[in-house]
Amino acid sequence: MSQRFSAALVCWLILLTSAIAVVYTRHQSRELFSELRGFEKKIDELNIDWGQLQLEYGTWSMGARVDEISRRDLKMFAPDFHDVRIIHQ
Amino acid sequence: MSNNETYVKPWRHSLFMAVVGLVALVVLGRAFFLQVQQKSFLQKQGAARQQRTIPVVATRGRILDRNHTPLAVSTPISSVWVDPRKLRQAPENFSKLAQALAQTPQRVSVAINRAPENRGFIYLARHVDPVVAENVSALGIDGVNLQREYHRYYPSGEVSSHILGSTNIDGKGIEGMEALWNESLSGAPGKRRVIQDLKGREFSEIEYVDKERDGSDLLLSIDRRIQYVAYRELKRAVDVHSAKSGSVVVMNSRTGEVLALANQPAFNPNTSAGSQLGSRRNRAVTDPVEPGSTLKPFTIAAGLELGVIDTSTVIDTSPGTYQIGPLRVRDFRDYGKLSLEGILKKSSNVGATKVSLLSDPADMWAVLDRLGFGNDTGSLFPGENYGVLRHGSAWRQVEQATIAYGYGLSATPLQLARAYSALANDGVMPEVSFLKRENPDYKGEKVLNPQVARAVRRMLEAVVEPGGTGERARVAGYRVAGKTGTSRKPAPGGYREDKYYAFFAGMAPASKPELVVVVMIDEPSGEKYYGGDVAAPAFSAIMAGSLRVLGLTMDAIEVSQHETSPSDEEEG
Repeated sequence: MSQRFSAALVCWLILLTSAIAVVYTRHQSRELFSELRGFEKKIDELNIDWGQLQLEYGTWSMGARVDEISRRDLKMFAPDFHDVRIIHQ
Repeated sequence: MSNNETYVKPWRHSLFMAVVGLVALVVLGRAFFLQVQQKSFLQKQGAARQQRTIPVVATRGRILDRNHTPLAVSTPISSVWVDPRKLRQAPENFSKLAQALAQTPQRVSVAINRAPENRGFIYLARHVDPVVAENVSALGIDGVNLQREYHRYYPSGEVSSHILGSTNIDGKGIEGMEALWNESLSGAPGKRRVIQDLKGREFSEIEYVDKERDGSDLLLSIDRRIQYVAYRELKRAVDVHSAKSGSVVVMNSRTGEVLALANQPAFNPNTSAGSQLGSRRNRAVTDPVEPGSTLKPFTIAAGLELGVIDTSTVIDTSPGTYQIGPLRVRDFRDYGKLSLEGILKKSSNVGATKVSLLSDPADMWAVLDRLGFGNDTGSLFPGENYGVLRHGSAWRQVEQATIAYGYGLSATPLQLARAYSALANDGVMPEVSFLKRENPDYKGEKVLNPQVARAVRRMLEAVVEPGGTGERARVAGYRVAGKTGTSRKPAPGGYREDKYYAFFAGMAPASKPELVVVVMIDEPSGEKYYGGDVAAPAFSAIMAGSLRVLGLTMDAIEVSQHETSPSDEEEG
C-alpha cells in the first residue's frame, strides 16, 4: 500500500513540476517573442529608412537631373570622336 | 454553566460539517462544470475578449535595374479606417475628423452614414500623408484607426513606366513586370496573435500564427542610364515630327536582354490620374505593325540561306516596277541592275520581290518562322502580341512578294529587335529577357548560317554609307549596320496614302555587334515621314548614348587617327 502511495506521490510531483515548467516556458516564450518583436520593429524602422534613402538616391540620380547638372553647371560634354584615342593593350 | 466548558450538542457539529461539506461540494461541482464541461466555450470567449489574430502585410520587393539601382520601392504609409457604428454615435466628431483629413465634413458624414448598418470597417482615406496620419491619430476619436499599408514609388517616373507597369491601391501588380512577377514580389502575408485592451488597442503581441514572408527583389535587364537616353530621344523624335506614338527597343544582341524599352505616349506610374488615352500601353510589345522595308534583310538572308542566290547575285530592277497578277510593285525610281547590297542600300522593293520569288514559299516561311516572326519572343511580357505570319503553304505569289518588302505580315518592335539580333550575333538568336541573365554565357538558338548573317550584316553597313537610305543613322566612331523602313498604315480595304510608320532597325559596333536598336515612329505628321529621316536620327542618338554608357570600343577610328606622333604623347 505504501509502495503504491509513494508511486502516486512521485507521479504527482512530476506532474506538478511539468505544470510549472509549462507555465515557465510559456512565460519565457512570450518574453522572448516580445524581444523578437522589438528587434523586428527595429528592422522595420531601418528598412523604412533604407527604402526612403533608396528613393532619394533614385530621385537624385535620375538621368534627366544628372544630364542637366553635368551640362549646365559642370560644363561637361561628350567628347567628339576625333578627340578619342583608343589604347590597345 | 458553572464550568468553562461549553456544552455543544453533538448534532450541531455534524450539521456544521455537513454545511461546510455541501458548500465545498457545490464549489467543486461548479469548478468541475466550468473546467470540464464548458472549458472550450469559456476559453474561446476569454480569448475573444482579449486576443485577436491580426493580419500582417508583407513588404513588396523592390524592382532594380541591372546595376541594382532601384526603379520601384515600397514604403509604408497609413490608411485611415473607421468603425461607422461607433462614429455614428458621435456625429460631433465628423468636422474635427474632416479637418484632419483635409476633406469636407459632408464627405465624411456621407461616407459614414452610407455604410451598411452592421458594417464595422470602412476606409475613410487611403495612403494619406504622414502628417495627416499623425493629426488623425492625435484626435484620439474612438473608432478611428490607422492601418499600415505600402505605397509604391517609382523614382524614374515616366521614363521606365511601360516596363515596370503599376500596382493597384492594394499593392497588387496589374501591368508590366509588376503584374508578371506579382507573386514573387508580393511575398506572403502573415498573421500575429495579439492581446488587446478594452478599447481594442493592441497592447502586446504573443506569437506568430503565420510568419509573413517579404517579397523578393526583382533584378531587371534594364540599364537605367540607357533607358533614360532611349526615353529622351524617342520623346524628342515624336515631338519634333508631331507623331502619334513611337517605340524604341535597345537589346543586347548576344543575350537577348532588353537594356531599354520606351514608348510614347508614356504615363507617370506615381499618379493614377490624368494619363493620356492609350499611354499605358506598351506598344513595343503589344502592338504589331507591318515592318515594311526593315524586313528586307531577312528576305535576302532567306535567299542566301536557301541557296537560291549568293553574295555575287545581281538583280535587274528595271524599269522600277514589277507586275505580279493584280499587284504592281514599285520602287522610288528605276535603280537598274542592283547587287544584294544595292537592293538593301536603295531599299528596292522590286529587287526584294524578285529575290523572294526565287525560293519556295514554304522554305522562305520556314526561315522567317525560325527568325521569330509570328512567334513568342520568350519575354513573358503580359499582353505580348506575337504578330501574324501566315504559314507558307497558304501563301499566294502576291503574298510572297509583299512579304519580301514587309507587308502582309506583322511584328512588334520587340520581335524585330530579336530577329535583328540573329544578324548581329552571327546567326544565333537569343530569347528575349526582361530579367538580368544569371548565366553570362547564355547562348541563343542557331537560326541562320553564320556566313549568311555576316554577309547580310556587311550589306547593312552599306545602308548607312553616303547614298544609302540610312545615312542619318551613323554614329561617330562606330561602324553601324541597319535598315530603314517606311510602311503605309493599313486602312479598311487597303492602305492609307498619307499615314506611315517610320522605322530604323540596326546594330553596332558592326565589327562585333553588341547592341540592337529598333526605333518605330507612328504617323509622323511633319514634312518628313521616311524612316531614314524620322527614325534614323533617333536611332543614331540612342545608339551613340548606349555605346557610350557601356564604354564599347570604337571600331571606326582609322588606324592613322590613333597612332600617336611623339609630340602628341607628351600631352597630359
